[in-house]
Amino acid sequence: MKNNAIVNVNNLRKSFDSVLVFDGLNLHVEANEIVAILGPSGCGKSTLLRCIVGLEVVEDGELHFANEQGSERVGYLFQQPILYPHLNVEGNIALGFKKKYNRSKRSMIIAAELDSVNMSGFERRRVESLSGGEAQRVALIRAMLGRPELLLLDEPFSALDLETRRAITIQTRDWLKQRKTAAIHVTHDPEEAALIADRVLSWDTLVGSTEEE
Amino acid sequence: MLRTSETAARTLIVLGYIALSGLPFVYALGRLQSVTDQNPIEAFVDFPNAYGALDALQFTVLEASVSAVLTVLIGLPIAWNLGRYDWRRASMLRAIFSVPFVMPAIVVAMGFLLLIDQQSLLFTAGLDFRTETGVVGAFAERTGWAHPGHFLVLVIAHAWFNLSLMIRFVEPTIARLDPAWEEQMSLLGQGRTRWGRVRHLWWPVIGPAVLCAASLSFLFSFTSFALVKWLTPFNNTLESLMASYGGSAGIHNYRVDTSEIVLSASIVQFMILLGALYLTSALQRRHSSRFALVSEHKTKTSRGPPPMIARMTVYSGLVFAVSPMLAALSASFRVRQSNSSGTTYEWSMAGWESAWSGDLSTLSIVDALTNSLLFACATLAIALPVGWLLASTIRSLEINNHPNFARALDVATLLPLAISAVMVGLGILLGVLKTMPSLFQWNYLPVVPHVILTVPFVVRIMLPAMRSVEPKWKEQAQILGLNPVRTWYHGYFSFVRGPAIVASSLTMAFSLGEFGASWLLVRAGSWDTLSVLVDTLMSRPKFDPLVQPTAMAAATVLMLLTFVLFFIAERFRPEGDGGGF
Repeated sequence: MKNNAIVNVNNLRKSFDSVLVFDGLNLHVEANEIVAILGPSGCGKSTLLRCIVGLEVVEDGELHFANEQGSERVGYLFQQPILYPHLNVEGNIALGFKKKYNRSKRSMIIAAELDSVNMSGFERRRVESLSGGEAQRVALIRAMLGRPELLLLDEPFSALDLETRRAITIQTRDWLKQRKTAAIHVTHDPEEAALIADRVLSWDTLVGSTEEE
Repeated sequence: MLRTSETAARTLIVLGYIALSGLPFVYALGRLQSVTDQNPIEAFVDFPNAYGALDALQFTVLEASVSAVLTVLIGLPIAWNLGRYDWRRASMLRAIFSVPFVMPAIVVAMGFLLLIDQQSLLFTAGLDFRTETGVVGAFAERTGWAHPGHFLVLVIAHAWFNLSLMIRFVEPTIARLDPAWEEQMSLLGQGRTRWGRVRHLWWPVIGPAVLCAASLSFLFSFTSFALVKWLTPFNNTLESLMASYGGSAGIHNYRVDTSEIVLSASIVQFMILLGALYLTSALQRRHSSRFALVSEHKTKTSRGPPPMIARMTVYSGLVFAVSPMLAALSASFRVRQSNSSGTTYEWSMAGWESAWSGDLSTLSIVDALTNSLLFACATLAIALPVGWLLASTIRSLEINNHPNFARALDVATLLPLAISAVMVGLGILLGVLKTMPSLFQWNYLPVVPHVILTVPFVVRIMLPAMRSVEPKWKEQAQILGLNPVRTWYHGYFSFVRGPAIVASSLTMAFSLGEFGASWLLVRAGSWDTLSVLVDTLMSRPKFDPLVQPTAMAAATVLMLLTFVLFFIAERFRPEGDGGGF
């Protein structure tokens, strides 16, 4: 385990049936660090994130978390924001709470979070009425409410138009830094990677003996 | 011009159908009112005083409620496991679980009677539900509850019958919900625990479907007739109460008390069923496609093959689903032999030979089968076009921005479900026939209630299919220069052909198995249907050892015919079709 690393991935191997996705993958992310992984579509970036968060079972290798709670302190932002249509914006965000709050306290926190992303007054809105950028912001607030130590971002802004994408990428970086949250952001867009990350890694360099910048 | 005549034709059909389905009931009410000198409100108020009515109401509500709960308890684990995992031959499993719903109630009643008779495994294991000795008897004695065994068998039979409602309504949603939704929930603070995922994801997703299936289960258990008649002979439901007094009701100056009972019971039953139907309709609207559904293949392959507990649940359900049917089949080959050393049973074809020759009844199995098929074909010939036109009229109203009219007509087509089979039969018997007795000579009279009762199913099947046909297909065909017939065929009919075949098969299956109305209306003997023949045979004293095997042979033919029709329907059912019949 590298010093100060929040997660350490050593020689990870994953395949589906007989198709190998990656083998000998190494990666470490330090506290408060934002790492971007650049790679073409279908190379296995999303699978790596799913392995880290525990949605996929790894075949071989080691995954070490600094925190004893392991992947429970990991948040995840999907490529498409998954907002539940039976709940309004507030209801969706409230799913992210780990602690129980009374209704007024909960509403107060959510209102403040929405305000921080310029979405004041959106609490009662139906999720179907949100634009792509708004929906992704809601998903981001929800993911951050659980106070994760590490947030995994699986190309969450790829479906947005260029202008919105730039704005939300910068906003997300500011957010992560304010809250001292580490992140792994996978993308195929070098500009997006450069905008958000402290360290940009190429996918090819991960699958080998050591990871390189 | 064409549009005007089309509108006129549609209006005529809609009005004709509403008159056809509502008139017998209205006619019967009018007749009963004139005999009893009571209006419906007076009859409703007087209901508790009608002999046996309150007991019947209590029993009906109790058995229907328990049946609905039991249907959920048995059906939900099966639907859950069937929907979540990648089963080999999943469509066959689904078909087997859906068969009970189209099985004729009289066959089911016979199957369950056999499962609890003195040669059954349950009896051997010490569970005597029929004569209520042993454990069941001790329970009855301790609680003071008369005939708990019969009650239990009735509610289990209803749960068996309605099992497919749970499978049809709930399983497709479970099978096709985007796995990412569940993954996302499991990564959120409130979704980390199983209970959290159930509360915040699964219940909102499948809850309306579960409640919808439960309320339909309540509705069908409430109006169940053959099962009640045979499995709980000591208790009356409102339906069986009306059926037993229906014969002497509606006649001036003769047994006016029976007319009062039938009038008040029919009003109370209609109101309760209307409430249940409204609830079902409201829940069905909530059970919509707001959730992200994906290909079943995607969800199931991501979850893999079923684990042991899922296999045990589903296979136990399979045993439950096929047991009554296998019991009826095997009983058709078992003949009782009594001699000085006691009673034994032997395997024999004698029951089938007797059924074939018709020695024990007014007509042979072949004649009854012919009658049943004639009624079923006639029903299909009317119900399919009427149902089709009603569905297309609703769709046309929706497209032309008349949502309120569309919804009103949608509910109107459901109304016959609130007027049970016995009520429809009684309506025709008391209303139409007492006004026009010559109609009683008309051999195809049972077709009328069969049409009334099957049209709602045709509409339920055709309407979602019509809603799913996008105008772009027709437009594309027109752009390609196809003639109007080919445009209609490729741009419309090819999308609704499968559901039309499903509707046809199910219409025939329902007509073949219909018992309540046929039992009231078929009096001529030589026009008995298979379901009436089974009932007639089973009602005979069992001194002759061939009575039961003969009845079971008739029941088996009816069962096999329904099976064939159902499997034809299943072949044409669109992938992931759910939320309906």
